Amino acid sequence: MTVLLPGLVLLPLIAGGFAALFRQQGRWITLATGLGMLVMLVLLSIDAWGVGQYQGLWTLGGWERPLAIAWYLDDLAHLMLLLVGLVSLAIMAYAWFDTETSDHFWGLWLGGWGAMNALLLSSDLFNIYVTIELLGLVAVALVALSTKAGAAAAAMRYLIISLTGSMFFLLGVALIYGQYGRLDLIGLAEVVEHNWVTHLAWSIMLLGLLAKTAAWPLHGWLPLAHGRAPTAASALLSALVIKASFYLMWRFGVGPFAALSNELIAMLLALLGTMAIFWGSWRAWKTPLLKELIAWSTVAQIGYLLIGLAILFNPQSILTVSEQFNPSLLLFWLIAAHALTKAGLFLVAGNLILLTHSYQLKDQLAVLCNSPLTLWTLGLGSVALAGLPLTLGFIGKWWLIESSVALGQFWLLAPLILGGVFTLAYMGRLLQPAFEQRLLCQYAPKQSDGRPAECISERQLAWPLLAVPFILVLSVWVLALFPLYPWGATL
Amino acid sequence: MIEQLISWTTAYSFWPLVIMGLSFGVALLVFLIAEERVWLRSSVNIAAALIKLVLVLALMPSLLQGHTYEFGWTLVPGLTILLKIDGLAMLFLVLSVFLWLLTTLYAIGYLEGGVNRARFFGFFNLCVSATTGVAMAGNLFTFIIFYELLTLATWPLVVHRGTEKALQAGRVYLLYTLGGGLVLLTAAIGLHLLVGTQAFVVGGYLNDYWAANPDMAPILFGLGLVFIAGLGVKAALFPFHGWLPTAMVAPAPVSSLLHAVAVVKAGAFGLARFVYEIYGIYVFSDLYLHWVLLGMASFTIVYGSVRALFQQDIKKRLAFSTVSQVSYVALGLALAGPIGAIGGLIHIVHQGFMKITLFMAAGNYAETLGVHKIKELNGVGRVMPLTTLAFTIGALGMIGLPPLAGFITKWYLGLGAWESGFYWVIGVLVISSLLNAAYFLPTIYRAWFLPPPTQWPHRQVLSQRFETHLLLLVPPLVTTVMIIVLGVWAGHLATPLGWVSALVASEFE
Repeated sequence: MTVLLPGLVLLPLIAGGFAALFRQQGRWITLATGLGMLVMLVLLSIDAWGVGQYQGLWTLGGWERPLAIAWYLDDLAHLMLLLVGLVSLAIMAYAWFDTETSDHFWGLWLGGWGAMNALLLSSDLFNIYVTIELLGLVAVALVALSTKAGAAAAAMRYLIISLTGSMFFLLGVALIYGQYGRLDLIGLAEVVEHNWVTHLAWSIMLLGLLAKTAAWPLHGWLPLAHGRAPTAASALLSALVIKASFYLMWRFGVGPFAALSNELIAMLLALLGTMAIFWGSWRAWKTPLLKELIAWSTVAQIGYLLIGLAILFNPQSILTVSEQFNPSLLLFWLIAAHALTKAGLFLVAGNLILLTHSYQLKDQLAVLCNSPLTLWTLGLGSVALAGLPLTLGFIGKWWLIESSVALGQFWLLAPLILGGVFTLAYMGRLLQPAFEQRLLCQYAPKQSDGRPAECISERQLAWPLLAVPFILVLSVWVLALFPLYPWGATL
Repeated sequence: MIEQLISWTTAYSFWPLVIMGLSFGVALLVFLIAEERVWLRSSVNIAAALIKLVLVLALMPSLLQGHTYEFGWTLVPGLTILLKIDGLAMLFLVLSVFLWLLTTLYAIGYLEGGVNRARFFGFFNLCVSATTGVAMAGNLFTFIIFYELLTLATWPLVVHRGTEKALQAGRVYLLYTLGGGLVLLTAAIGLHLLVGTQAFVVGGYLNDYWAANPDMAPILFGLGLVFIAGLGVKAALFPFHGWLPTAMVAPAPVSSLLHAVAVVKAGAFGLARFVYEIYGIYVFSDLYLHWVLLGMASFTIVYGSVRALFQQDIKKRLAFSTVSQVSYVALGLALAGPIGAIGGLIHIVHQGFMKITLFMAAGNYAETLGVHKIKELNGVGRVMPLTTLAFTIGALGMIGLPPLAGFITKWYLGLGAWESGFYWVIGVLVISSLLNAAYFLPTIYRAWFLPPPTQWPHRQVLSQRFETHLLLLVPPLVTTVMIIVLGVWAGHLATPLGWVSALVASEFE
């Protein structure tokens, strides 16, 4: 049984290597790996919600810390592993049926999945640096797979940001090592002191991670990269990859560097988050391109996460109510809601591009009118993205609202509440024309030679291409009814 | 037999969930039925409406005995979805379920041969579900969920025709109602900070807080204003009424639904919950909030009537009439006395029946003869006597002619104003009735006594034997009969009046 945690990391990494070598067989290797991963995630969950033998610190090969590669599994890491696994599987299922999926995709994302799992589990700053660097390179390669004009430039820009971010992170790690001579998170939490070196180290690490998360004003690369990557890659990048660096900020901020947080940094993060919500929404409202709209929406949604981070970092926040339940874990639902919804929306965008061969929103509207399931996915997705009650996003937002109020930060209610309205407004650009009668097939103007106009609808696609995004979006609604289930509590 | 029914229904507490699930299940099912399977869709619609009606009626006897049904589901600590069927919920439930059955029949006839019917009826059912949810919401959080859901589910119906005008109206509608929803949410968060989100309770849950914190009066007063503004948008209180006349581009069944049952009533019903079961009538009047509501309602009543007088379009005139009439409910609440309260609450039902009759009749004129303007109504009574009869009774009811339903409302409101010492409100009622008469009576005269034109704008033969399609004719006639019945037998215990009197007695204890 002890192979479970190493298996979750090593299986996809090794399989990814094979898939890269034997490109023709990539998808079959992926299928086998995916099934294996699913089994391991189920076993892990059964354990986590039952015995709990994997919970806590794990060292590979029995070495004592600080020397060993140490992994740490808790509720948050477990839930993130599940989220990454399920969203990856869903997107891979979509990519399987997507005729434009490149052969390189399979090996790349298997590697990315392994790196991501390692990142979630690692409890050592240097290992974390290695995983985040690996993940960053995979992400850049995924963007570069695109044949779209401008994709290479976007990938280049992403590469530079990603490498710079990692460099900052590494610099911070080096400073910490110089200061304390150790890098394991648990040990560091015991020894970290207030001094300018530590503050500097934490600040530049934070800066690097914020850039990788695409926090405003370091977001410029995201709409380009996510807007131009191939469909499945966009979905993975927006849903999962940016969450990796966010997860690290969360981990470090309440873990080893909790003592360093103060109200100033919390205020700063809250301001960045607010700006992200306003600026991202505004750009999503203006852009003429469908995928850029969804990508700008990601920039806005990161704003919520940053406000969540601000609350976590505020020394006056009450993060634990009882031993059983830590309300700040509700922030995980915000991550999950965004991951599931955004993956679904990017896949829908991929469908529309497959059908119309156009990236322009205005060319895609006619297809939407005649495609009910796609429209439903978009509709449910928009409401979920806006975080209205009955969706998972609301659970996370509710924690944000209650905490902001408890901290006396009433002004945060404005971005938190208005953000939802903005979301409905820019998603309305897609939804409202769907009710325009002139766009319906039976009303389309005849072609110049008198034949009826060509009617493009979702019926021309394989059904899994429609089902996967729908299920992803629907899950946000279903999960919202059981937000405490992972903690085994109903009250 | 009644005894058996009561013991059977009270044995379970899941009824709210059953009613809710039935509504949503049917909505989902209707969306999945293929566009061209008209008969299947119609049967599912009608069957579901009937089952729901029977279910709701079956719960009534046990409610009369003071039993209530609750179903709660805690999402996270402090955040509970609570569905509750109590007396007030029942009032709105019965109204919506009954009128929905009629509107469904009407809509089936109205949309015959139209496009996108699967979508229409799907959202139609989603609207019922949301309205049912608004009625059964047991706390503010649940109320807001369904209140917002109602907004989102109604929008596709408003823009159903898909013309530029309809889309424009849809934008206005969303702007107003989502804005109102936000304001309401803000108020709810404010209240949550003060006392937490508690279940609605007879007599209100602010009494203890108010007694302990008299210095919080300005904040409670301010919050009250925000609540009134948030709920006032859907209840079409001036100056938040702008969406309602614009939304008139929607198909006739939607208009009757917006105006008689779902949207405006959700606002009015929300005001009732707010006044009686959140603040409580005594806290509400201690804070002098009833003066604010009374002022707004009185002004809206007169303003709506005056605007209606100048409308040339039948549906627009009816829309402004709605703006005016729905404020009677707010007026009844604001009088802060038991008799006025009866007048206000009973008007939720009475206005529903009268306005739905008028809108269905207007829809019949438009569908059968192509008549949309008031001046085109000349002699319409000779071609469509039954529809015109329905229109006439509805209009006379609105004016408040005894013994029709509208008279009962105005009688109680007038007595209530006297009882509470707001003598000038009686003047408002008189002016409003005169204005009602001024814009309805000439129309009725026109319809019956002026000679019909040689050619109608756009005449269609919808039936060989009747003046119009049977499904368009029967629902307004049923509601017409109800207008008379509700007025004539108002004193009988089993009418809404008896129900409301019992409710008010408990709220003012």
